[in-house]
Amino acid sequence: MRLLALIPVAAVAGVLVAAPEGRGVDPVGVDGAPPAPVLDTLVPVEPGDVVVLEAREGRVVVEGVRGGDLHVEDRDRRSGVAVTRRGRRVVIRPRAADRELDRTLRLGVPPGVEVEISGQSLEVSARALGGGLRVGVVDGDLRASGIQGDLDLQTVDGDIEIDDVGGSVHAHTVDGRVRMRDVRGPRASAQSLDGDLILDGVASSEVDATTVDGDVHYRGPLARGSRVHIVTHDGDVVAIVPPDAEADVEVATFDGEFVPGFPVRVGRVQAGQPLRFRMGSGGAQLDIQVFDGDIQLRHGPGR
Amino acid sequence: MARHDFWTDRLSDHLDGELPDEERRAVEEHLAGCTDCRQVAHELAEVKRRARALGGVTPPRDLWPDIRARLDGDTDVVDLTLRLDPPPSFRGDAPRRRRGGVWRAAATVALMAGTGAAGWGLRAGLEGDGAPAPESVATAPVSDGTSPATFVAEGVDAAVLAREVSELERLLSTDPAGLDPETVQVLKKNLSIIQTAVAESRAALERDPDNAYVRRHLEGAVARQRAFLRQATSLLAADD
Repeated sequence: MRLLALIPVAAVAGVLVAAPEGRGVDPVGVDGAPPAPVLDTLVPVEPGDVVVLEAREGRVVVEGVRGGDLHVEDRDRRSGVAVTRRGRRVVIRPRAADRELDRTLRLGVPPGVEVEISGQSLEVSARALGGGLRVGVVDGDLRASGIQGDLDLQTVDGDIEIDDVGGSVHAHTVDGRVRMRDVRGPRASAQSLDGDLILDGVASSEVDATTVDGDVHYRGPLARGSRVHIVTHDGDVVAIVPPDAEADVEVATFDGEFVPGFPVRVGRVQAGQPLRFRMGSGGAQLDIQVFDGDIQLRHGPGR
Repeated sequence: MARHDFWTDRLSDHLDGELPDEERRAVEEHLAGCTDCRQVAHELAEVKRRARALGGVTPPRDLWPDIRARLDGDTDVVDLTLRLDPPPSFRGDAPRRRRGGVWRAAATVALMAGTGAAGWGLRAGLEGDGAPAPESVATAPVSDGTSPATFVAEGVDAAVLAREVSELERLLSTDPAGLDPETVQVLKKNLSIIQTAVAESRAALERDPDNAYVRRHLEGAVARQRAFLRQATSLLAADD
């Protein structure tokens, strides 16, 4: 990242610090296009600060960086972004009247700084963040990997992909797929209305995966004391747990089959009651509810 | 309930205009005097209307063989020692097996209303490898006396819920300027999906009022419906 401007935002409350004019010029145009103005801004931040991005439309890439400065790499051809500080919140907005980002906006965020992004039609990709991340958009795909803090991703129309998160995760889409891998925080929640849920290597002690129209794949360690709750109305469920997992299991499907991949011993089956059985001596809780679909429970590595 | 079965059996065909004149007249006369059947007919018509609006339909498969097989296996399961074919690899990106979409859902509602199937089924078994046939289902009524015809969910007023649905439908019909038309279509589609899920769950509960699991599932579906209604309405109301 080229640094063309260093602006001590914290020293002047509420100062507008970013404007593309005269700040710098990209030396190479793209495909013969006029060179794009470039603004790389450094904003001093501290752990506990919150970076807030509000944009109507566009694409955002957020990456973790070392040091104590927020990096704002703005290549907007039109008017750039405005950066202001309000207490512990550093607010970034496109200066264009329509609040659209003309080019991909890149943010470099130091450790311990939280990020909040909201927009209407916004694609967000985040990686290697030392703090937490919250995103809420109307439509757009959301991706996050290598997040140390808590993660909250919400979109109405879009897929969500999550990988390698140390904190709790909440992923919610109305129309789209949720895929999460290697989540280690205490809670993991994946929700969709029309879309599949894929949870692979989710080691959280509280796991909730709920969709209305979609399949659910779960693979996790199912450690003692953990609780995994899976619901789909119209879809199949495949759950893979380690052979030595010890859990109380409850499965139910209104119109479908339960197909265990290993011997299970159940007691009396009662109409209107889920099938219950114990793996090992119990200790974890696995609940799977399906209305129209099959349930497969298999042994395999938790990840 | 058996008498209602006779009529609800014919509702889907009636809505599709496929009944002979004599049966059509009989159904209409019955609907004129039966609130429960009118409610089922209304829900079924809603599902069909939304299904038509979605376009791109998949013909429903016949669910009756599965249900009949389930009814036949009316025994207690005490031990399941099963073997499974080598499992497919865990591939999260595997294409989803779509289960038929909304037309299938409409067919499910109609079929459940018409077959008298007990509904609850939980089979543990193998397919096509000579293993023991699927077994399931025993009896243990757990009714709390709540009529499924009026039951929506604990603490949920059916009239309030209906108003919330109407409000969202009104907002969706206004083509809000601030929202991408594709997003509006997505909201319409998902309203249909959650409404179908609730209707299917309700129909199942009407067929099997003592089924505690279906009741719980219906409550969950209603909770998700309400969450969606709140989310979509707030999204649209900003542009109303």
